[in-house]
Amino acid sequence: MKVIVCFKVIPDYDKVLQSDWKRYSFSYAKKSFGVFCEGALESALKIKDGIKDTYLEAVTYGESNNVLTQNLYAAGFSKVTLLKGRQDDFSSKSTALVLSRYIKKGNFDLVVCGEMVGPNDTGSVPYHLASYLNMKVIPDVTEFRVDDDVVIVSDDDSRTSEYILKEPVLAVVSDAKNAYLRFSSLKRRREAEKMKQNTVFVLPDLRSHKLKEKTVKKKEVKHIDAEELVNILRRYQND
Amino acid sequence: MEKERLEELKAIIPEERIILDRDAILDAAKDYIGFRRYERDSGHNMAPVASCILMVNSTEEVSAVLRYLNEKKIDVVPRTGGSSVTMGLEPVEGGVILDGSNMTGIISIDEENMQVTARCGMPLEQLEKTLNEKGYTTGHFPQSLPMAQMGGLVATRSIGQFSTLYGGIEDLLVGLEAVLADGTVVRIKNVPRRSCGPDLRHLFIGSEGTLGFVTEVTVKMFKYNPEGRWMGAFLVKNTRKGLEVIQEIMREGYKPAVCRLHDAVELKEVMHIKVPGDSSLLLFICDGPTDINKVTGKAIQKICLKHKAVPLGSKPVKQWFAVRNDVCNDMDKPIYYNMGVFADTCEISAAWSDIADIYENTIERVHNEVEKISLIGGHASHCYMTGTNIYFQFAVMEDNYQKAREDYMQVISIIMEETLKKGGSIAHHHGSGKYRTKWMPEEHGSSYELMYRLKEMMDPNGILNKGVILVEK
Repeated sequence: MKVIVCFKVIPDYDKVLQSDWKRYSFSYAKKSFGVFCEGALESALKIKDGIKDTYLEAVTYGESNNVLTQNLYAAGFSKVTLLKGRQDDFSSKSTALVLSRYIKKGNFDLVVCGEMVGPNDTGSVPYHLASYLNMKVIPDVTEFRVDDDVVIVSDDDSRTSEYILKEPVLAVVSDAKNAYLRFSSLKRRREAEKMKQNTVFVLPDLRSHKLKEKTVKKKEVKHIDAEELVNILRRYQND
Repeated sequence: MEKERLEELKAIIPEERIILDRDAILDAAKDYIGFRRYERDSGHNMAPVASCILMVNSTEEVSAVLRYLNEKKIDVVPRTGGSSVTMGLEPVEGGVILDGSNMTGIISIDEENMQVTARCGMPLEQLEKTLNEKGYTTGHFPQSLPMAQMGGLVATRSIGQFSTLYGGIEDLLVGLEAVLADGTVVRIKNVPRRSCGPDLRHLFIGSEGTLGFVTEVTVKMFKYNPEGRWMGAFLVKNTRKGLEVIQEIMREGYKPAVCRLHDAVELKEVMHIKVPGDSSLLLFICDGPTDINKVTGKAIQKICLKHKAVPLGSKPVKQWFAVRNDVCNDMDKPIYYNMGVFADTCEISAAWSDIADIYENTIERVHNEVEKISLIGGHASHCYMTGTNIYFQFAVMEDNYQKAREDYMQVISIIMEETLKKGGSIAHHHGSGKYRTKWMPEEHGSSYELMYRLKEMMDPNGILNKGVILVEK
């Protein structure tokens, strides 16, 4: 099974000085995973706990942090990738587009995103990404479980609590059951120190992005409500 | 608790202040030592359970209750804020918890003599805020500030983050009132100094409730001048070099209020900062009169630069200062448990000649001997002319609540052994609690006998906080 988790590194907003909110100067603040991203990363690790040969990759766009990258390797990620673009355009659509270009090449069975990154995020990246990847979305995911090599996705809606993963989908993790990335042993930490982040320069630049966006607009973004999604997945289960 | 005993207690304090609810009892005896947190987060209480909590409202009630408990030889654990991380609050199974946290209130603010008197349950944070509004400060800021209460601060020999200037509670305490095990009320008057025999305040400072129950406390006040503070941060080559810098600052006679050295592990794991090699971070705050702060800050900067430390400005200090006590907000959340570890701290102290060796030897041994170790690092945060402390921070991978205590004590044993080997002290400011008691004979050496004699004199029936400081003979 191939799983990729999209994450974002952000300042720990709890540790930003009150005076700095006015100036928006967070460069000194401790860096953390986006609050839902961390839950997405740890939730995906549970799949690897259950299916040992799972290929698990983490990908981010824009900014990374050495310590956090090493923590991901130590925790069990096979590869950590930083996507860099020519432009500093981190709008939701641009971010989704850049991520989609990389993810498309990987033939992943499951794409996992956190519901949103931080207080300034629109929370729309996962849905734009699903649209660019032409994947169905499972919203409000709280955990992944493995039962007899089958991945079960749970969400926080009691009516539609579980889906069995049978086709590539994009799962949006919200209130994760395991919200924090696990600690790792000293041995694994030391091994992780030798591992390098995979950096990929992504084209196109802003200009071609706009051109691409026009193409994307032609595609219809599929928003499926929960009930419809359950019906679809039930059909798959019955197959 | 036996029905007969309960009826007798009801004659001493009102029934509504005798708490028998099991959850409330467990909550009052809750200790924040790492393995107990892990056990609780896994849904198990492994600690002994008291039979009741007695919520006392006055010195007279404390006296009456203790007189009764002493007569009946019932074990008792004194309590106020409940921020123990040493098993210091854990009761003897079936014993009682004597809770003074209702005894709040400031008795007097004496601006002429610069001292404030408060009851034992007065929250330090509230007292500090009240004083700040009047232009004063206690100068005492332990990390437990949001939880701590005045009686417990004295009983545990507390220290605060501004200690390098203001000292520990032993330097701040002017006088006190306490109740002995047999109910006798004693008062040690408030004087600036005296030469009239041994200083009896020290019978209660750090006694951890084994020699009496502190009911009232008078501490010094200082002028409050937060705008006049000087702050500075520096990056040094490694922890050993950082200790050299601090030592020189102390030796030259400068007194920053905050003087901290965080090692590379803390920078990486706690602050998520990757630094070159083993670089360590120095944080300084000078407090008090503005002019003195400027001079002290300038001198500190000069010493740091002489040791090739890289100046980082004041922002790292400001950030540390803003979030320094936030850990108290997460004490009851199963964050570490969910991350698959137990985590904790353990503080020791030693002379300048030994402290770096203790730090390095401990870390090396933990790395080599503790199979489940995830990380161990530390910081120095309280500095003296003669030495400093190391506050080890560690996390150990755990998946079995029944093994947590054993695995925890493996790390603690190494810290204790390496400290004692070099002649340091095994507890800088958290106290003995019950978890360090077994090392107390070696800690005190030949003077340990005095502890038994004091206990025999002040609590002959041994009802007060059994298992703390004293190894049972």
